[in-house]
Amino acid sequence: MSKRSTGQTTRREALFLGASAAFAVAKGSARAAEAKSESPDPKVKTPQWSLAIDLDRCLRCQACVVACAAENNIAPAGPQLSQTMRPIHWMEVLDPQARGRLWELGPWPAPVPCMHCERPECVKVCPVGACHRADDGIVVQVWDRCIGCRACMVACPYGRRSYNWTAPAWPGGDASAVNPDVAIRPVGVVEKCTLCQHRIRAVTERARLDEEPVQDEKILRLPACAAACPSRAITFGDGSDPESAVSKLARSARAVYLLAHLETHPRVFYLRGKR
Amino acid sequence: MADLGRRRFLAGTGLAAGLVAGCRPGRDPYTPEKPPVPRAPGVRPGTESQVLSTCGLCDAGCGIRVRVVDGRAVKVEGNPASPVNRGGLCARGLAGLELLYHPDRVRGPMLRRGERGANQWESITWDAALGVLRERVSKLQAAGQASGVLLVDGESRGTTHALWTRFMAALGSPNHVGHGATGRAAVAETLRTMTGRAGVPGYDFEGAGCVLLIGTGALESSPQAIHLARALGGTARPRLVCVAPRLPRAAALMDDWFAVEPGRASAVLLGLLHVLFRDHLSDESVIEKARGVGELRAAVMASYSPAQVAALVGVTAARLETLAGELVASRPSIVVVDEESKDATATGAAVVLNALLSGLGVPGGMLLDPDEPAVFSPADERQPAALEARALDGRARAEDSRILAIPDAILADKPYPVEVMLLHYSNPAFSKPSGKQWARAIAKVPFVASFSPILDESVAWADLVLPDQTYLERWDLVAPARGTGVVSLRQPVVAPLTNGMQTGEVILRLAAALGGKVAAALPWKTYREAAVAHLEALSDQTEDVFDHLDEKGVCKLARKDAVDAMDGLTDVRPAIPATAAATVGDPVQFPFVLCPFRDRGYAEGGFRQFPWLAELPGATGDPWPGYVEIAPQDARKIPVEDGAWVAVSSSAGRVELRARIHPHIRPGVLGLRLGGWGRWVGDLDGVPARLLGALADSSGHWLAWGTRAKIERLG
Repeated sequence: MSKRSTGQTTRREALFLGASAAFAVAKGSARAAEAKSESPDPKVKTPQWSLAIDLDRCLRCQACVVACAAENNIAPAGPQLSQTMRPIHWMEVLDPQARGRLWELGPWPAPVPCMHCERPECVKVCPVGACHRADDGIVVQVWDRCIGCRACMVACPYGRRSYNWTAPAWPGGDASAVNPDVAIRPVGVVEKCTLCQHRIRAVTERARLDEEPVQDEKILRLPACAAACPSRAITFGDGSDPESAVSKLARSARAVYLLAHLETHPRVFYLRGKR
Repeated sequence: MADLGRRRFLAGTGLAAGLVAGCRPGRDPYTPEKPPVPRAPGVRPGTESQVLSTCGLCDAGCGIRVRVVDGRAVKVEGNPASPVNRGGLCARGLAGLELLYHPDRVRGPMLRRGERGANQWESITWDAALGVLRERVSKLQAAGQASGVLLVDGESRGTTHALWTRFMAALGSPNHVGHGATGRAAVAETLRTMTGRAGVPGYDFEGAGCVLLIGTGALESSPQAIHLARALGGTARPRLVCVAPRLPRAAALMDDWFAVEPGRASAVLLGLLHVLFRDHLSDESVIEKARGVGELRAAVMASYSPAQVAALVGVTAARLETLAGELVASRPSIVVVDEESKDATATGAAVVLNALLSGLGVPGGMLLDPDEPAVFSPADERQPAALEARALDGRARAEDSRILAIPDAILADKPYPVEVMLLHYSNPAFSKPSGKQWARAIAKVPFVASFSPILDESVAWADLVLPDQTYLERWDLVAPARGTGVVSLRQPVVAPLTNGMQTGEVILRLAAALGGKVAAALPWKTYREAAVAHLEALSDQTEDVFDHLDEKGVCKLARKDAVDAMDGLTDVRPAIPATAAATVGDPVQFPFVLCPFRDRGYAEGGFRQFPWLAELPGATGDPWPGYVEIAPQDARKIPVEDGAWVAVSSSAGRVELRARIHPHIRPGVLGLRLGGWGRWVGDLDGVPARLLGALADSSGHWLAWGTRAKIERLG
């Protein structure tokens, strides 16, 4: 029983992985250059990540909220701070009265992450380029660039951005449980859902090393919220692949996009109605 | 310059510094704070692993997979190989690292130094601590007063529980008291009477067409919740109907809701039985041979017609007829009685309905599970049915402990004084109804020892603390019941963070030190040996189990006493309606009925100190204090607005809480969230459970919905 059960990564392996990742990046950029100069290779087509939340499966148990906080180093605000300001949540199960115009979600609480819009309002207003939309459709916040003006928070029609009013503080000052893959945000910057970009990157890099395409069935529950969901209400995948599970869900009659009239074209969508 | 200005602004508003521990005054607030991340000693940097284990925050036994980096546990996720949770996990399980790294962990054995309750301690060695306890216990044993040892045991299953059972029996004390009477024992005991099978039942939600929930536990903190969630994620989900005075926000998937008065659920179930009997809608051969079937039929036919039930509980007769039709049409159907809020008749009626609508031990129905063997190799001479000395709570069988009777017995010294109290997985001063009585009782007992790994309200009054390790630091074999038929491995994911010791190990050492009969009953050298012996008593097939466990963390187990489908019930008398449920308190002075609930973060016998759970959105604007849910109609009458401070009082006490206007609660009912978060509550007056009276039904089980209260707006 002394043996750990699975997946021991030793330092040697880690070093090897790092080196091979660097090699892969070099190879990838070489490939990208190749793709630019010659005919585009369908293999290197950038996936367009998308997330479906099935409200007919979602129990509103908030497991996704805690999973997100644990994965992304969101420290609890503590009793004093949460009295005056909203604690930070990237994923949040919002009550109907707390979410204003998002009436498409129905009469019950519903989980709301960043919508990862194709035409994000936050990107338009950011004066320093701290909000930007990556090639794979993820709307990211570059914390090092953010000056804390909070224009993006005003601009976001879904209210899915949070401001760090204080530096994060872990209970008792013990930060042992922080995830080394996610940066800790300093005071004075805005933060938001990254669709667990670090987890996506780990999978895509591995696939690139193995020279195999990312298999849809292996990444259905890739983001931390989707992995945790006990009723499998959250599905992740490549929206540009018509065969992926998330694309099939997007084509279903139950697919609902929040505030569609604003034409932000969210990449995160909901499923509602009888299934 | 802008930077300076903004810095001054932040300093001026007092937000930047001093509010949180991590933010030290005088430091440039724009330098990214690098948190102190201690590396575990003896761990090579760059080491990363995924450790398979089993969650320990309730007894559902979900498989977990913990990511460990540099000897630090950084993330808990579900183990996809576990049939219990299939890779999913509830909010509490995901927050488990907050228990591991909690600032209030007890760092090692401690002896009280100051006044009792002053929370002043002296660190001692394990040998010294065990010596203190041994001396206390052996003195009583020598004087022939071993029954003066009282053990309050928060676990009802597992090897540690079995070791405690053997220990107390060999010592000669009948006072091994569990929390079952305020929890899930009613279901297990009723099932034992009706089928002859002990054990906690499970339900095959995935195979069911319709699920009728009595109470909302299966949507909140009950270990059934993960099984229901798993079923709701399937391709065809069962229809869900709930009978309860309030719905939690997790009830979004409910197809129908019967907002009956608290304590009236049994009438609905008997009304359904009436329809089934009247129209001969089910195969009644399953109850034909049972004792009391004639009496049950007569009582149900005489006074529980849909019209009569409608008058009693305030739902229309037509809806009841429709519900009965639905249950029959979508068979197999399941009736789940909340393990934590029930009365004896409702539990009995639910078992009869399950037998009629789906069957016992069959797919789509109630799954029967054998209980873990109390007797395992080497066989002990304990006679479970006969207790030598009279127990404090006056029960006849060791399994049927009645925790509600304990504080009064201690305070009255009847039938004999309690000299030593051991608290294992128990914090009765916080969690039990009439907690004030408990606090007084704990203060009266001359010597109290707690095994809690974390400082809590009852530890504060103890004389000796022998801290357990958390479930993430110890080795164990867990057999999740409820029809799962598996055994699951628990192993340390990190090196122990404190000088704690697994309580099973403490029991073995204490037994060896006591010598004589006690040492003979507990001959194992280590806890691991005992756990393996326990597993071997469960199943013959233990050869390859360990290989499987090592690889997958969980393994199917062919059990010696596996239960197949049962032909029928042997006794239906528990379903025969008893007198209507009473409530404590004058209805004029206390116009509301309290409906206590445990939400996702806090289960029976569990820990509750998780800041992440405290801040889950949706509580009120201020999530940390407790809250009371009130119907919009009632809120307008008082009047009280959402988030206002209110004082709730009952004949048992008065507590100040925030009000939360809740659309899904029956008028006249207050939903009281049990729990309370973060660090231990030094001031016990704020504990919500203080409001609850210790009213029991005829079989000694707590009636959770039996306390009346009033509510006033403060300020």
